[in-house]
Amino acid sequence: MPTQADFDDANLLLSRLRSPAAILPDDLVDMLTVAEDAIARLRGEARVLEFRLQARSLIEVGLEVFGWAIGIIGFLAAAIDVFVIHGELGLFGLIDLASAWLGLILGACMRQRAEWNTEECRYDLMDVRTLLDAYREIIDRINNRLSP
Amino acid sequence: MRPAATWRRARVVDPCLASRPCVLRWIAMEDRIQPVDRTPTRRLNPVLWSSAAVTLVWVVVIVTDELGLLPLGRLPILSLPFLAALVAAGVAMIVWQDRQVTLELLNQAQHEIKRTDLLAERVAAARQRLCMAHRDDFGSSTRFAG
Repeated sequence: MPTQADFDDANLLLSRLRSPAAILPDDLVDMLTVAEDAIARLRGEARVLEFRLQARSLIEVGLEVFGWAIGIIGFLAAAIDVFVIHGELGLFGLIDLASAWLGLILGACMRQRAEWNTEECRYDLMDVRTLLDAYREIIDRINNRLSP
Repeated sequence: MRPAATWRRARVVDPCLASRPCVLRWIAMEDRIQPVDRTPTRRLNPVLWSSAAVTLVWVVVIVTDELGLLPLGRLPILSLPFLAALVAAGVAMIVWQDRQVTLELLNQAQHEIKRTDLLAERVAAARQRLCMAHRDDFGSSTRFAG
Protein backbone atom coordinates (compact mmCIF):
# COMPACT_ATOMS: atom_id res chain seq x y z
CA MET A 1 0.00 0.00 0.00
CA PRO A 2 1.14 3.61 -0.56
CA THR A 3 3.93 4.54 1.86
CA GLN A 4 5.11 7.87 3.24
CA ALA A 5 7.96 7.73 0.70
CA ASP A 6 5.42 7.73 -2.17
CA PHE A 7 3.80 10.85 -0.70
CA ASP A 8 7.22 12.49 -0.20
CA ASP A 9 8.14 11.82 -3.85
CA ALA A 10 4.88 13.34 -5.06
CA ASN A 11 5.31 16.33 -2.70
CA LEU A 12 8.85 16.98 -3.94
CA LEU A 13 7.80 16.76 -7.59
CA LEU A 14 4.81 19.02 -6.97
CA SER A 15 6.90 21.59 -5.12
CA ARG A 16 9.45 21.70 -7.96
CA LEU A 17 6.75 22.04 -10.60
CA ARG A 18 4.72 24.61 -8.65
CA SER A 19 7.74 26.91 -8.23
CA PRO A 20 8.31 29.31 -11.13
CA ALA A 21 11.95 28.22 -11.44
CA ALA A 22 13.00 26.89 -14.85
CA ILE A 23 13.45 23.15 -15.23
CA LEU A 24 15.83 21.44 -17.65
CA PRO A 25 14.19 19.34 -20.38
CA ASP A 26 16.16 16.32 -19.17
CA ASP A 27 14.65 16.80 -15.72
CA LEU A 28 11.16 16.98 -17.21
CA VAL A 29 11.79 13.70 -19.03
CA ASP A 30 12.97 12.14 -15.78
CA MET A 31 9.95 13.55 -13.94
CA LEU A 32 7.70 11.90 -16.49
CA THR A 33 9.56 8.63 -15.95
CA VAL A 34 9.08 8.94 -12.19
CA ALA A 35 5.39 9.75 -12.71
CA GLU A 36 5.02 6.82 -15.09
CA ASP A 37 6.60 4.42 -12.57
CA ALA A 38 4.44 5.78 -9.75
CA ILE A 39 1.25 5.51 -11.81
CA ALA A 40 2.12 1.92 -12.76
CA ARG A 41 2.71 1.18 -9.07
CA LEU A 42 -0.59 2.81 -8.10
CA ARG A 43 -2.36 0.76 -10.75
CA GLY A 44 -0.90 -2.34 -9.08
CA GLU A 45 -2.07 -1.09 -5.68
CA ALA A 46 -5.59 -0.50 -6.99
CA ARG A 47 -5.60 -4.00 -8.51
CA VAL A 48 -4.55 -5.50 -5.18
CA LEU A 49 -7.32 -3.54 -3.45
CA GLU A 50 -9.84 -4.80 -5.99
CA PHE A 51 -8.68 -8.35 -5.27
CA ARG A 52 -8.80 -7.83 -1.49
CA LEU A 53 -12.37 -6.53 -1.74
CA GLN A 54 -13.50 -9.30 -4.06
CA ALA A 55 -11.96 -12.30 -2.39
CA ARG A 56 -11.86 -12.96 1.31
CA SER A 57 -10.03 -16.14 2.19
CA LEU A 58 -12.08 -19.32 2.11
CA ILE A 59 -11.24 -20.02 5.78
CA GLU A 60 -12.56 -16.60 6.89
CA VAL A 61 -15.80 -16.90 4.92
CA GLY A 62 -16.19 -20.55 6.04
CA LEU A 63 -15.70 -19.69 9.73
CA GLU A 64 -18.15 -16.78 9.54
CA VAL A 65 -20.87 -18.80 7.80
CA PHE A 66 -20.23 -21.71 10.19
CA GLY A 67 -20.50 -19.40 13.23
CA TRP A 68 -23.74 -17.74 12.11
CA ALA A 69 -25.24 -21.11 11.09
CA ILE A 70 -24.37 -22.72 14.46
CA GLY A 71 -25.87 -19.68 16.21
CA ILE A 72 -29.21 -19.78 14.39
CA ILE A 73 -29.48 -23.59 14.30
CA GLY A 74 -28.54 -23.76 18.02
CA PHE A 75 -31.38 -21.45 19.04
CA LEU A 76 -33.83 -23.33 16.78
CA ALA A 77 -32.65 -26.68 18.18
CA ALA A 78 -33.15 -25.43 21.75
CA ALA A 79 -36.65 -24.21 20.79
CA ILE A 80 -37.50 -27.60 19.20
CA ASP A 81 -36.12 -29.32 22.31
CA VAL A 82 -38.41 -27.25 24.53
CA PHE A 83 -41.59 -27.14 22.44
CA VAL A 84 -41.54 -30.47 20.60
CA ILE A 85 -39.36 -33.06 22.31
CA HIS A 86 -38.96 -32.62 26.08
CA GLY A 87 -41.25 -29.76 26.98
CA GLU A 88 -38.51 -28.15 29.06
CA LEU A 89 -34.97 -26.91 28.68
CA GLY A 90 -32.94 -29.98 29.62
CA LEU A 91 -29.22 -30.62 29.39
CA PHE A 92 -29.37 -30.81 25.58
CA GLY A 93 -31.25 -27.53 25.47
CA LEU A 94 -28.54 -25.91 27.58
CA ILE A 95 -25.84 -27.33 25.30
CA ASP A 96 -27.79 -26.00 22.27
CA LEU A 97 -28.02 -22.53 23.78
CA ALA A 98 -24.35 -22.44 24.79
CA SER A 99 -23.16 -23.64 21.38
CA ALA A 100 -25.54 -21.18 19.67
CA TRP A 101 -24.08 -18.27 21.60
CA LEU A 102 -20.49 -19.41 20.97
CA GLY A 103 -21.35 -19.78 17.28
CA LEU A 104 -22.69 -16.24 17.23
CA ILE A 105 -19.50 -14.96 18.86
CA LEU A 106 -17.42 -16.78 16.22
CA GLY A 107 -19.56 -15.26 13.46
CA ALA A 108 -19.32 -11.81 15.04
CA CYS A 109 -15.51 -12.07 15.35
CA MET A 110 -15.12 -13.03 11.71
CA ARG A 111 -17.55 -10.27 10.67
CA GLN A 112 -15.54 -7.74 12.71
CA ARG A 113 -12.37 -8.92 10.97
CA ALA A 114 -14.05 -8.49 7.58
CA GLU A 115 -15.16 -4.97 8.54
CA TRP A 116 -11.62 -4.03 9.60
CA ASN A 117 -10.37 -5.36 6.26
CA THR A 118 -12.97 -3.26 4.42
CA GLU A 119 -12.00 -0.21 6.47
CA GLU A 120 -8.30 -0.70 5.66
CA CYS A 121 -9.20 -1.04 1.98
CA ARG A 122 -11.16 2.23 2.20
CA TYR A 123 -8.15 4.08 3.69
CA ASP A 124 -5.76 2.56 1.14
CA LEU A 125 -8.13 3.56 -1.65
CA MET A 126 -8.22 7.14 -0.34
CA ASP A 127 -4.40 7.22 -0.36
CA VAL A 128 -4.31 5.87 -3.92
CA ARG A 129 -6.86 8.51 -4.98
CA THR A 130 -4.87 11.33 -3.31
CA LEU A 131 -1.68 10.22 -5.06
CA LEU A 132 -3.44 9.90 -8.43
CA ASP A 133 -4.82 13.43 -8.03
CA ALA A 134 -1.29 14.62 -7.27
CA TYR A 135 0.16 12.88 -10.33
CA ARG A 136 -2.62 14.31 -12.50
CA GLU A 137 -1.55 17.76 -11.32
CA ILE A 138 2.11 16.87 -11.96
CA ILE A 139 1.31 15.81 -15.53
CA ASP A 140 -0.82 18.94 -16.06
CA ARG A 141 2.03 21.13 -14.88
CA ILE A 142 4.56 19.33 -17.08
CA ASN A 143 2.17 19.79 -20.02
CA ASN A 144 1.79 23.50 -19.15
CA ARG A 145 5.55 23.89 -19.20
CA LEU A 146 5.65 22.26 -22.62
CA SER A 147 2.95 24.57 -24.02
CA PRO A 148 4.36 27.42 -26.11
CA MET B 1 25.65 -0.80 -8.95
CA ARG B 2 22.39 1.13 -8.90
CA PRO B 3 20.20 0.83 -11.99
CA ALA B 4 19.86 3.88 -14.24
CA ALA B 5 16.20 4.36 -13.29
CA THR B 6 17.14 4.72 -9.63
CA TRP B 7 19.68 7.44 -10.44
CA ARG B 8 17.14 9.21 -12.64
CA ARG B 9 14.60 9.12 -9.85
CA ALA B 10 17.17 10.27 -7.33
CA ARG B 11 18.05 13.26 -9.52
CA VAL B 12 14.54 14.63 -9.99
CA VAL B 13 12.91 13.60 -6.76
CA ASP B 14 15.86 14.18 -4.45
CA PRO B 15 17.78 17.15 -5.93
CA CYS B 16 20.39 16.43 -3.33
CA LEU B 17 19.94 13.11 -1.59
CA ALA B 18 21.20 14.36 1.76
CA SER B 19 18.89 17.39 1.69
CA ARG B 20 15.69 15.45 1.02
CA PRO B 21 14.32 15.84 4.59
CA CYS B 22 15.20 19.58 4.51
CA VAL B 23 13.41 20.08 1.18
CA LEU B 24 10.39 18.25 2.55
CA ARG B 25 10.38 20.56 5.56
CA TRP B 26 10.33 23.62 3.29
CA ILE B 27 7.13 22.54 1.60
CA ALA B 28 4.29 24.35 3.35
CA MET B 29 1.95 22.11 5.30
CA GLU B 30 -1.12 23.24 3.33
CA ASP B 31 0.61 22.46 0.02
CA ARG B 32 1.48 18.94 1.05
CA ILE B 33 -0.43 15.79 0.29
CA GLN B 34 -0.60 13.43 3.22
CA PRO B 35 -1.73 9.85 3.77
CA VAL B 36 -5.09 9.42 5.48
CA ASP B 37 -4.93 9.62 9.26
CA ARG B 38 -5.73 6.09 10.38
CA THR B 39 -6.24 6.73 14.09
CA PRO B 40 -8.13 5.36 15.89
CA THR B 41 -7.63 2.06 14.13
CA ARG B 42 -9.65 -1.13 14.49
CA ARG B 43 -12.70 0.16 16.32
CA LEU B 44 -15.25 -2.43 17.41
CA ASN B 45 -18.60 -2.32 15.65
CA PRO B 46 -20.97 -1.14 18.44
CA VAL B 47 -24.12 -2.62 16.83
CA LEU B 48 -22.51 -6.03 16.36
CA TRP B 49 -21.10 -6.36 19.86
CA SER B 50 -24.03 -4.81 21.71
CA SER B 51 -26.28 -7.30 19.88
CA ALA B 52 -23.99 -10.12 21.02
CA ALA B 53 -24.18 -8.79 24.61
CA VAL B 54 -27.99 -8.53 24.50
CA THR B 55 -28.19 -12.10 23.14
CA LEU B 56 -25.94 -13.32 25.96
CA VAL B 57 -28.14 -11.59 28.57
CA TRP B 58 -31.23 -13.09 26.93
CA VAL B 59 -29.72 -16.60 27.02
CA VAL B 60 -28.67 -16.15 30.66
CA VAL B 61 -32.21 -15.01 31.57
CA ILE B 62 -33.71 -18.08 29.81
CA VAL B 63 -31.35 -20.48 31.55
CA THR B 64 -31.73 -18.93 35.05
CA ASP B 65 -35.49 -18.89 34.63
CA GLU B 66 -35.53 -22.54 33.56
CA LEU B 67 -33.41 -23.41 36.60
CA GLY B 68 -36.13 -21.79 38.75
CA LEU B 69 -33.98 -18.88 39.92
CA LEU B 70 -36.18 -16.22 38.28
CA PRO B 71 -39.97 -15.92 38.78
CA LEU B 72 -40.73 -15.24 35.11
CA GLY B 73 -42.63 -18.44 34.32
CA ARG B 74 -42.62 -19.72 30.72
CA LEU B 75 -42.23 -16.28 29.17
CA PRO B 76 -38.44 -16.33 28.52
CA ILE B 77 -38.45 -19.83 27.03
CA LEU B 78 -41.39 -18.92 24.79
CA SER B 79 -39.26 -16.14 23.32
CA LEU B 80 -36.66 -18.64 22.04
CA PRO B 81 -38.02 -18.93 18.46
CA PHE B 82 -38.33 -15.13 18.41
CA LEU B 83 -34.66 -14.88 19.48
CA ALA B 84 -33.60 -17.25 16.66
CA ALA B 85 -35.59 -15.21 14.12
CA LEU B 86 -34.12 -11.95 15.45
CA VAL B 87 -30.56 -13.29 15.19
CA ALA B 88 -31.19 -14.52 11.63
CA ALA B 89 -32.62 -11.12 10.63
CA GLY B 90 -29.70 -9.30 12.29
CA VAL B 91 -27.14 -11.48 10.53
CA ALA B 92 -28.86 -10.98 7.16
CA MET B 93 -28.93 -7.20 7.67
CA ILE B 94 -25.25 -6.99 8.71
CA VAL B 95 -24.09 -9.14 5.78
CA TRP B 96 -26.25 -7.19 3.27
CA GLN B 97 -24.97 -3.86 4.60
CA ASP B 98 -21.35 -4.99 4.37
CA ARG B 99 -21.97 -6.27 0.84
CA GLN B 100 -23.25 -2.82 -0.19
CA VAL B 101 -20.19 -1.08 1.27
CA THR B 102 -17.85 -3.61 -0.36
CA LEU B 103 -19.53 -3.18 -3.76
CA GLU B 104 -19.26 0.59 -3.48
CA LEU B 105 -15.54 0.36 -2.65
CA LEU B 106 -15.05 -2.15 -5.45
CA ASN B 107 -16.59 0.31 -7.93
CA GLN B 108 -14.28 3.02 -6.63
CA ALA B 109 -11.23 0.76 -6.99
CA GLN B 110 -12.20 -0.06 -10.57
CA HIS B 111 -12.70 3.64 -11.25
CA GLU B 112 -9.18 4.35 -9.94
CA ILE B 113 -7.76 1.62 -12.19
CA LYS B 114 -9.39 3.32 -15.20
CA ARG B 115 -7.94 6.64 -14.03
CA THR B 116 -4.43 5.16 -13.92
CA ASP B 117 -4.90 3.99 -17.52
CA LEU B 118 -5.93 7.49 -18.61
CA LEU B 119 -3.02 9.04 -16.71
CA ALA B 120 -0.57 6.58 -18.30
CA GLU B 121 -1.86 7.64 -21.74
CA ARG B 122 -1.39 11.29 -20.83
CA VAL B 123 2.16 10.58 -19.62
CA ALA B 124 2.93 8.87 -22.93
CA ALA B 125 1.51 11.86 -24.87
CA ALA B 126 3.49 14.33 -22.73
CA ARG B 127 6.66 12.29 -23.23
CA GLN B 128 6.13 12.35 -26.98
CA ARG B 129 5.66 16.12 -26.96
CA LEU B 130 8.68 16.56 -24.74
CA CYS B 131 10.85 14.37 -26.96
CA MET B 132 9.81 16.38 -30.03
CA ALA B 133 10.45 19.68 -28.27
CA HIS B 134 13.73 18.37 -26.94
CA ARG B 135 14.80 17.25 -30.42
CA ASP B 136 14.03 20.73 -31.80
CA ASP B 137 16.11 22.35 -29.11
CA PHE B 138 18.90 19.77 -29.21
CA GLY B 139 22.22 21.39 -28.48
CA SER B 140 20.75 24.58 -27.07
CA SER B 141 20.45 25.39 -23.39
CA THR B 142 16.67 25.96 -23.54
CA ARG B 143 14.81 25.75 -20.24
CA PHE B 144 11.11 25.05 -19.77
CA ALA B 145 9.95 27.91 -17.62
CA GLY B 146 7.10 27.65 -15.18
